[in-house]
Amino acid sequence: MAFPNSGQIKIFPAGVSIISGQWALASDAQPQPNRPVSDLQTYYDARVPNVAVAPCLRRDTEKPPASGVYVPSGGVYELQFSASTIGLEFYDGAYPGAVAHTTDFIKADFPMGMTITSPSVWVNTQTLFGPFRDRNIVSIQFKYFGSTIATYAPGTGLLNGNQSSGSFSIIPVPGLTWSFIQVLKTFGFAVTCNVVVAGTLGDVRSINIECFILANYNTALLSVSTLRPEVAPGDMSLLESNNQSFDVFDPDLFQIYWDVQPGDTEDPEFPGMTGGVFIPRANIKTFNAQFLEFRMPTGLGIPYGGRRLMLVGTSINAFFVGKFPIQNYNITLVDGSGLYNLTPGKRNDTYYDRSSGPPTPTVDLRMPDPRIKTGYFNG
Amino acid sequence: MKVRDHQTIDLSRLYGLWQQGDPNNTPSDHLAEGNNFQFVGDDIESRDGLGISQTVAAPVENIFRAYNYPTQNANTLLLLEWDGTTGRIYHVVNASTVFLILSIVGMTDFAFVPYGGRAYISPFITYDNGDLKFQKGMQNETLYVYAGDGTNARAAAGATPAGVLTIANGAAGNTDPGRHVFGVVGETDSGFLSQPIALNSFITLANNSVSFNNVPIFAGPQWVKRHIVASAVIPTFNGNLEGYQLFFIPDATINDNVTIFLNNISFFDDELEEDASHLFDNYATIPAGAALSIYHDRLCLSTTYDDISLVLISAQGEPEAISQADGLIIVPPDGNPITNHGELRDIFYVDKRSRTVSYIDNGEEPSSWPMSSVDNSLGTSVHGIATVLDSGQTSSDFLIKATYAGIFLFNGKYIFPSLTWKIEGLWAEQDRNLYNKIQIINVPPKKCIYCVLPDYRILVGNYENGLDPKNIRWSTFSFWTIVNAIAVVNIDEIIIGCENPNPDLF
Repeated sequence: MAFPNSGQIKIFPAGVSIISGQWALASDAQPQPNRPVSDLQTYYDARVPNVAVAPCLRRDTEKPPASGVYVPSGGVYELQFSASTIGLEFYDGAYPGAVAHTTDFIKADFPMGMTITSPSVWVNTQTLFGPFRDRNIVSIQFKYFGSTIATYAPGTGLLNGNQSSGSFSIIPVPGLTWSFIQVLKTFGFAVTCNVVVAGTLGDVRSINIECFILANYNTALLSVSTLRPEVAPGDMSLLESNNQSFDVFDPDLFQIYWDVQPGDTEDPEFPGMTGGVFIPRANIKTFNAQFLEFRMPTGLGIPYGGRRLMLVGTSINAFFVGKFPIQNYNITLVDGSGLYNLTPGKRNDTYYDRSSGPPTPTVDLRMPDPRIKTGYFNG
Repeated sequence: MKVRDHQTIDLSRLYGLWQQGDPNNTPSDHLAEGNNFQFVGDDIESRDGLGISQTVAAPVENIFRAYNYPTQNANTLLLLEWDGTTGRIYHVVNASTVFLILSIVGMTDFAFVPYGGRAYISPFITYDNGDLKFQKGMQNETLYVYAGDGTNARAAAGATPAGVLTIANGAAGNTDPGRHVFGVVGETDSGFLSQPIALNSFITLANNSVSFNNVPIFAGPQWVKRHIVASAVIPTFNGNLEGYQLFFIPDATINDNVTIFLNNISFFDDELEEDASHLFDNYATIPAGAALSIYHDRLCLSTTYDDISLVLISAQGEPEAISQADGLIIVPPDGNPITNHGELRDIFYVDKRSRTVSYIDNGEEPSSWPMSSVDNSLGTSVHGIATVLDSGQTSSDFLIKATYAGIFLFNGKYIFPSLTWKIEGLWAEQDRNLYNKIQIINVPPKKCIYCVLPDYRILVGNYENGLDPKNIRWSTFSFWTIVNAIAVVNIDEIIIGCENPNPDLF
């Protein structure tokens, strides 16, 4: 095996090229929120020839209108794989010496949205020279952010005796979810290969460990432009009102409660609020100075006709410290009824907002997530 | 495991949604899921964005129904707005011009057909019959006609006033001497002719014309003319004024609804050619129905409140002249109402929800038209026949029909498999009691079929690759509001009518 660059992630699907529409053609490549253009080239390796690409959901230059609240539409292109195996190859460069060896692979630009269901590791020590090239290896530990996720021990695993390569399954450690969506959102991705040797490896000139994390994919979801949470019925948007500005709050610290009641006396930290349902962070889709969009927790119904919403925030510019209620809102579903037309080339939806007027104002919203999901390949 | 021995799968062509059976069996060139995408050649992209269609200060809201309405000089729209109590029909001429033309308490839907630049409108609602919901004309409501000029729609046909014609010999002239029966027929601005009224008999003289007085004035501005009708000479008069065949007297017309006399009319019996006797049988008030169509230049209305198996068919070229005696056809009753009808290749097809029959105009009165059974398992819903382009009509060389089994091409028979064969699962998910929500348009310039689904999405079938079950490519559109109706103006501009979101739907 020869790899042009050390330390890169390369993607090799067995049986199918996963290089498909989501990255589009080189000429169409656009900087994405999580992936610079330069990284795109990583995935256009010469060893993945003749890739036919469907330019999919290519709304790559969203431009907000001159006025109004607007969220880019984006889109999701979802590929499904079943039975097929996708190899995520982590390659460590030649390593001289005969001591324990640790290599981290941390890739924040790892493709998003993949869920590994049955990972395994393939180890190749064929570049280890010497008569005791394998026998001195006590174990090879695979760690995930410090937690051992699997251990290879010579003589007990598939990598036995003088075999130069083999594979075995990784048993996920409880509590560690092999969801690369989560991985990306929080830490990036990391695998540590820790080679533990007994004594020294005689006549060692190099150790070259190549790890293939082979994953059977139930669902591989690959983002086109931005990864968006699933939109479920019940999503709603709250528009800024009463000149209330959200941007003095740290968007990572604010909290939202729905259906609160005034006059709370039990919790002095939240005066004026009692009861209410906490809106989890994961349900918040968009939060900026003009726009708050979140998904209601399931089972609560829609607060049609007006309910209270309370934001609890923490200042990021020293205006205050701590949490306190910043706004009560009456939540109503905007009446967007009326006569519309499908406008060729238009990249967002414009609705009547009948909460005021006449004249009836309009509001620009992103269209409900445009998305497609293929059938299973080689299923 | 040879991880690098992969082979390329070509994703450059994807053929739309596949929702049939096990999702795991979705072909790799189809989509197991998807929403808000459309096809551009072989590519896929986000659907076109939604834009507002009215620029007036107070656009029509809470739209329950929309139709293309081709007038004499423009392609316009009719919209039904529902406020929870009253249905209001608007004529939207363009983005900035709209007229309120009809308000009816309780009207949640209406049937429509254009004819001669006018709009015929029939209000209907959904009734419960046990677990079954079906549509029929509103009780105590009528067929309406709208002139297309912004004036209020009015009841089609029309009631007649009382009165008796006064008849006298006129100036020197000529008639066939003897007793004639005379009467008056009113005419509306939509061409409707009333039944003969104010009947009286008079013995004319050979060398005199005839003069008429006390010609009744009809109620309403729609009455624009009155005609004098007469029988031929009656050798032996039996006193029954309605017992004789009446004819229009040539040139015996008062071209207004004000003048009460018409003097010095001469005619011979052999000039009496245009029969008026059939007008005695016409509906003065045409009951509302749930479906309207045009067949052989006749207006067809069905599913009245009192009879869900009845089709009322007008005289040819006279859409409001419907004979209560022989302008009727009755589809064999089976407990299901007539839902729709339309013409295809000179044949009149009548649908129930799960049945289709046909009639052929044999040149006689409609009641004598022979019926044939077309399909005893498939029919359609009240808006389930696709209209073509912005014509507002169903006429085409084939029909596209929404049935319980899917959307079918219909060319005299339902062509299996259905066009929606690839998405049978999606179609089966739709609530059958809400099939009245289905509205289909066919837009050949875009090579697309758009269908409003009971779940308030729009199902889009792209047939650039062929209008057949295999090559059609399906997608769905959804919005942040509820879609109730769809129409086309200006050849290929897709218009969508939306309702205020009902929280119960979420």
